[in-house]
Amino acid sequence: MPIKIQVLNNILEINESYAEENRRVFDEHNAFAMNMMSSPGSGKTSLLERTLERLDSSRVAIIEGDMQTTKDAERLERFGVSIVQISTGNACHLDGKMISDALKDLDLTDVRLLVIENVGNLVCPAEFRVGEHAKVVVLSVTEGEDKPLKYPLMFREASLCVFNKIDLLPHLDFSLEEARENARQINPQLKFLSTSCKTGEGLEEWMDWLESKMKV
Amino acid sequence: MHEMGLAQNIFDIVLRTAEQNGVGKVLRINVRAGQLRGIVPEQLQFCFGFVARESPIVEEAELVIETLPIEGKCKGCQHEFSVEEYRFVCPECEREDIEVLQGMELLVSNIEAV
Repeated sequence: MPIKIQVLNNILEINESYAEENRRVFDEHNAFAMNMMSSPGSGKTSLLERTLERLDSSRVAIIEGDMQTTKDAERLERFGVSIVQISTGNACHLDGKMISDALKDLDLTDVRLLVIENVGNLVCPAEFRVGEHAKVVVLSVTEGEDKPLKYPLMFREASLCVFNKIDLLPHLDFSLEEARENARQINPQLKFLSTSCKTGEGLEEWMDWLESKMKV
Repeated sequence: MHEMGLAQNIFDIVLRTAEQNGVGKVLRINVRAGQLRGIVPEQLQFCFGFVARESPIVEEAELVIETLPIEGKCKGCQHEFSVEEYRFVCPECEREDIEVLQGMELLVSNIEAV
């Protein structure tokens, strides 16, 4: 006679426990942890370069995630910022354990901003909490207004959406208004910024947002 | 996505539960997956079929996945509703401040064993 055994175990419990432990470490150090996500090539690393030009690097630490190469870390290293590169091999996203391991090589003393630059991928990173305080999705204006509708979990999880490469708008039929509307349908609480890493437009508002999140 | 990793996690949970309860064979595993998780049941079952072979206790278990639709509650008028096509807007008062009541679950609910 078969018996029924109640289990009620979260299938992602292991990742969740790493995420919670990571979060505890971030809070202990008063570091605002931001998980930056986007498609490949939307401009995450460029945005970080512009950010490091405007912030004291000693207040920032970066965990850089890519499947292959250390190119992004190399671009950011020149700012003298503490950085750990995770080469995931073939994992398409960062998870709690990867961040936990990376934290062993990072000194978070005096760090007020920890940036986790995730693997370029609009699908998977949203599924794995790593202990961050906020998820930021970067969408470049060449990607189309429909992307929030096609990738609902990503836009639902994010608290800020940055429309990047706005210097290209004169060459495109992209409607910022429609993109915002689509994203708001999925996540009415989502905040929006528009930036160009090329012209510098919108970077002040981006820095203001970051400063508002970082503890003094 | 990532059904292989999830299958491995399910296997670990089920084997641990089976051993803790001293059962010889798991017949059925009931999983609840919220729609927001984007789990593809057939893929998960396929992956689990491979992983389950690691143990005679689990290898013949049927993996049953119940997909839970997204349910929301309006923080304004308290109306509870099914969220269609990821539109998080209250059908009653059109407010957009919605609490997700259901849709993000991913758990092994129970197992049936002998």
